[in-house]
Amino acid sequence: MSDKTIKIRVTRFRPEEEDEPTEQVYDVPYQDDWVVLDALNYIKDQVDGTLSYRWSCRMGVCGSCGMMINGAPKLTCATFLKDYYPKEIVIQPLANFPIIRDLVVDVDDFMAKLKAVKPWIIREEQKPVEEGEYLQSPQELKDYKQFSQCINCLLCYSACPVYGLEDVFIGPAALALAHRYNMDSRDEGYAQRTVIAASSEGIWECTFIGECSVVCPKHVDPAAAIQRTKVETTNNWYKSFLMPWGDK
Amino acid sequence: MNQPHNEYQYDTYKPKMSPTWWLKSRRYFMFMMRELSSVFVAGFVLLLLYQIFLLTKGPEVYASFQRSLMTPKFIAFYSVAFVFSVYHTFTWLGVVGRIQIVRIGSYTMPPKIMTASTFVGFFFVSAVIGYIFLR
Amino acid sequence: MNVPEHDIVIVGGGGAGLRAAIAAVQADENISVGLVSKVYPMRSHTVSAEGGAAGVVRDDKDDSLDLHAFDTIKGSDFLADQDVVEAFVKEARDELIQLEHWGCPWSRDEDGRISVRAFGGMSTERTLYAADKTGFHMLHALFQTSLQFDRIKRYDEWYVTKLLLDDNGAACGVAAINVRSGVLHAIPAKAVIVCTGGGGRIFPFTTNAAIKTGDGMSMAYRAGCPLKDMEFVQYHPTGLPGTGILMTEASRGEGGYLINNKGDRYLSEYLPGKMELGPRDMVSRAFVHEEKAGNVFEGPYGTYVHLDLRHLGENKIDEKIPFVRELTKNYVGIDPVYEPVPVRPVVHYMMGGIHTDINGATPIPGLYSAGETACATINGANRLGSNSLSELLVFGARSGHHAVQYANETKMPPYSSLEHMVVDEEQRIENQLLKNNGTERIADIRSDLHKTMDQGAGIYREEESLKATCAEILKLKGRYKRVKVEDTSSVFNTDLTAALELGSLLDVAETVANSALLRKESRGSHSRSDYEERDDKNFLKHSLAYHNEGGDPRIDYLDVVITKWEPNERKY
Repeated sequence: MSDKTIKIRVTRFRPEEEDEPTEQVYDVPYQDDWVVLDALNYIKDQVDGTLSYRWSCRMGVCGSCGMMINGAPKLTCATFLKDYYPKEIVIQPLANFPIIRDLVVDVDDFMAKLKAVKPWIIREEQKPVEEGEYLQSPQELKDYKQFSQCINCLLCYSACPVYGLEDVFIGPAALALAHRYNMDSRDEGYAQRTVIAASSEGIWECTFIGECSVVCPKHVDPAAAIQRTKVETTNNWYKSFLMPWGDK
Repeated sequence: MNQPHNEYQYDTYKPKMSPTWWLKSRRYFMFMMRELSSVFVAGFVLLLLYQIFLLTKGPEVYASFQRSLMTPKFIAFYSVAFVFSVYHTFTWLGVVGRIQIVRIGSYTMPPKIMTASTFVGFFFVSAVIGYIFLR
Repeated sequence: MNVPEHDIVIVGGGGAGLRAAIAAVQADENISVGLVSKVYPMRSHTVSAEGGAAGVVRDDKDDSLDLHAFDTIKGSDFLADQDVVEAFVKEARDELIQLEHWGCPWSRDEDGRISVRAFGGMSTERTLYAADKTGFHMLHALFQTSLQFDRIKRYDEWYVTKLLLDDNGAACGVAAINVRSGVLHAIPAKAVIVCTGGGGRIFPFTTNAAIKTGDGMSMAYRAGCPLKDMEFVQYHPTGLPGTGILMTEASRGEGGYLINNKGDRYLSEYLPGKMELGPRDMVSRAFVHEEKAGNVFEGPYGTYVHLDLRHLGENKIDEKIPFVRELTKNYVGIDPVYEPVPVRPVVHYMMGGIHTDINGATPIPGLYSAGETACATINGANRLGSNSLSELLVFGARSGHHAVQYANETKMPPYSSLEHMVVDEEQRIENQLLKNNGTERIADIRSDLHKTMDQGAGIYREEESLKATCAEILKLKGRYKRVKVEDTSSVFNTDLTAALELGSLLDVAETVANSALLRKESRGSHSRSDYEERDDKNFLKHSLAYHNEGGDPRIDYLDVVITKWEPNERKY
C-alpha cells in the first residue's frame, strides 16, 4: 500500500445526540482500485466504528449502498476513488429521504409505493403448474426485460426533483416496475395497476425531467417507462369512449 | 410493517429541498429552460392568432399591426421565441425514439433510427413550409 | 410492549425464506407469518446468483428425474441423502414452473418455451436461466409475489439474535433487535424457519456478500441443533482476484475456456471428459495443481488463470452473459469480448448447515430450516452449480408446508413465558458486548479469523494446519470476549450488529475446522493432502457438530441414506 491518502467528508447524524446532521472528515489510504465503499469500510473497521451505512453485495446488484457522492446519487460499490483523487470526496445520505442515522435513510415510503403498484402477475385464472409454462417469445420477453432490471437502489428517487418537492409522487422505480408488469405478456392486471399508476400521484406528477434515467445504474430508463404509460393510458382513455365496445 | 410505534423515540431528520434546486446542475437548468420555452411558444401562438383575427378588421388595421411588429421590442421577442421554439422542438423530437416503439411485423425500429427519422421529417417539413412562405 | 405474535416466524428474507412464507400462507388461510430479515428482502444474497436453476423441465432434452438425481448424487461424491435427492428432483420442475407463473423472466427459446443450458456436472442441458442474473430475477419475482399476501408481515432490518426455546426444548419464537430503534423484542411463534444463508464470510476471499455471516447456523447451533457436513466448503473456480466477485459458471456453460500461463486448456489433464464443465471441486483443485506446477499468472491479489470468452463473440456474450461483461468492465477494466478475464477459485457456498430431514425439520421440535443454511442434504460433499437456486424453492416450500402442519397442532406460546427471555437476552448482549470493557477491534479479530481459515481450511487441508486453525479459533473466541463495540447508541447501531455477526462467524468457523480435522479422507470439496483417497468404509457418513460451550465442538456421525445408487468412482 502506498502512502497516498484521500480525504472523505461524511455526513454524521446521531439522533440521540443532535437535532441536525453534522460532518466529519477522515483521511483514508488511497488505492487505485478502491471504490468509495472500500473507503467507508476502512473508516468503520480501522478508524471509527460508529459510522453507520448500508452495504452488502459490493457488486452493484443488491441496491443497498446508494449514497450522494459529491452531490450526485451513486452506488458506493461502483464508484471509484480514482475518479475523484486527489480531491476530497463528500458522502451524504441519499437525497429526498428522511435520515435515520449517518448515511442510512428511511425508505419505508418507497416500500409502500412498491406494494401499491401491485408488482405481481395478475390473472383471472392461473394455469395449473402441471400444464407447464406460459409460452413467451424472446420478443415478448424483450418488451419488458429492460424494466425488470431495477435493483431498487433508489438513486432515481434522489435524482427526481418532483419527488423531492412532493413526496406523494409514486416515483420512477415503482412506476417502471408497474410498466414492467403491464408489458409482461402473461399479465392481465393493467386495469388494476393503472388505477394507482395513472392517478394524480402517479405518472401525471412526472414532468419528464429525465434525471432518473440518467442516474440509473442498470439502464432501466424509468422516464421512458412513465412516458410510455402516459401515452398508453391516454390512448386507452380515448378508446374507452370512442370505441366503448373494445377490450382493456 | 407492523411495529410498535412508541419505540421510535427519535425522529428522522427531514432535509428540505432548496427552491434553487434547478441551479445545481446543468441538466436541471436546461430542464427549466425547456419548461420556460413553452411560455414563449404560447406567446408566439397567441400573437399569430391575433394577427389572423386582425385580417377580419380590414387591410389598414392589419397593415398598421404589421408595422408595429417591426419594432425592436417585437423583433427581440420573436428572436427569443424562435430560439426557445427550436430548443423545445429538438428536445421533444429527441425523446420520441425512447417513448414510441415502432414495430413492423417482427422488426423493431431501433430508438436511434426512430429519433433520426423524426428529425429528418422535421427538417423536411420545415423546408417545405419555408419554401412556400419565403418564395 | 405491543409485539404481534405469528404462527410461523421465518428468519431470513432470501429465496428460501420468501418461498417458505408464500407456501405457508397459501397452505392455510388462517396462518400468519412473520418474515424477519436483517436487510430488506431484495438485498438478500440470492440476488447475486447468476448462472441458473436446474430442473427436469424440458421433455425434449433426453433427460429424466433419475438422471438429474444421479448427476446430483455423483456430484456430491455420494454423500447426498438419496431419498432427499429423489424428492428434490421431482419437485424442482414444478417449483420452477410455478415461479414462471409468478412472473420470473426466464430466458426463452424461439418457440416460447423456457430455455435450458449446460452446466457443470450435469449430463444434459437442464439449467433454466434468466440471462445471467437468475438469482436476481428469482428473488425479485418471489419478493414481488409475496407482497400480495397481507398475512406475511415483514420485519425489515430486524436482527435476530437468538432462537427461543420453551421448557420442553421446542422452538417458541425468536429474540430480535429492531435495528432502527435498537430495542430488543421477542416474537412469539409456534414454528420457526431459519433461512439465513451460508457463512462464506469466515474466509477472506469469497463471492459472498457482507451479510453472509452464518447467523442462523450459529443460532441453531447454540440452541442445541447440530450443524451437519460443515467441512464441505465449495470454492467456485472463477472469481475475480481481490474482490472475489463471481464470474458465473454459465460463462463456461456457454463455451468459455480456462487457460493457464502457457496458453493451454489445462483441464484436459484433470477432467478430460467434462473439461470446463466438470464439478466445481475438481476444477478448483485443478487450479491448485497448476499453481504448484507454476503454470499460473502472478498478480497483485495472488495467482490467477485466464477465463477466455473471446471466441464466443460479442453477440453471444451480450445475449447470454451480459452481466459478466458489465462486471469485468467495471471492476477489472477488461472487456471479455477482446481480452481474457483473470480468475481464481474463491469461497462460494457451504454444502453444510443446520441438520434437517427431508421436510426441512430439525431435531428441535418446531424448528425448520431451508436454503443454504440448511443441510438436508442434496449437495453432500460438493454441490453442482444451479442446484442451489432450485433447492431454495423446493425446500423453502417443503419447510413452509410442514411448519404449517406443525403449527396447526401446537399452541401459541404466551408472551408472558417469553418476557424473561427478552430480559435475559438484553442482559447478555449488554454484558458480553456493550459493557465488557473491550479492547480488541472487531476488524482485527475478523481478519485474524480470515488468515487462519485461509491457511488451515482452504482447498487443500492437512492435520497440522487444521489443528492449528482449531486452536486459533478457540483463542479468537477468547479474544471475542474482549471485543470492543465503539458505538453504544441505540439508533441503527451497525457496530453492534457487526460484533454479533462476528460471534456467528466464529461459531461457523469452529464447526468447519473441527469437522474437517476429524474427516480423515478426501471427498468432494474436502481435500486432505494427508488422506488423498475417499474412504467409504469409515466416512460414508455425515458429520454432526454439536455446540460445546468453552471448548471444541463435539463431532458425531450419521449414515448417508442410499436408495438406488451405490457409491463408485467419481470420474468425469
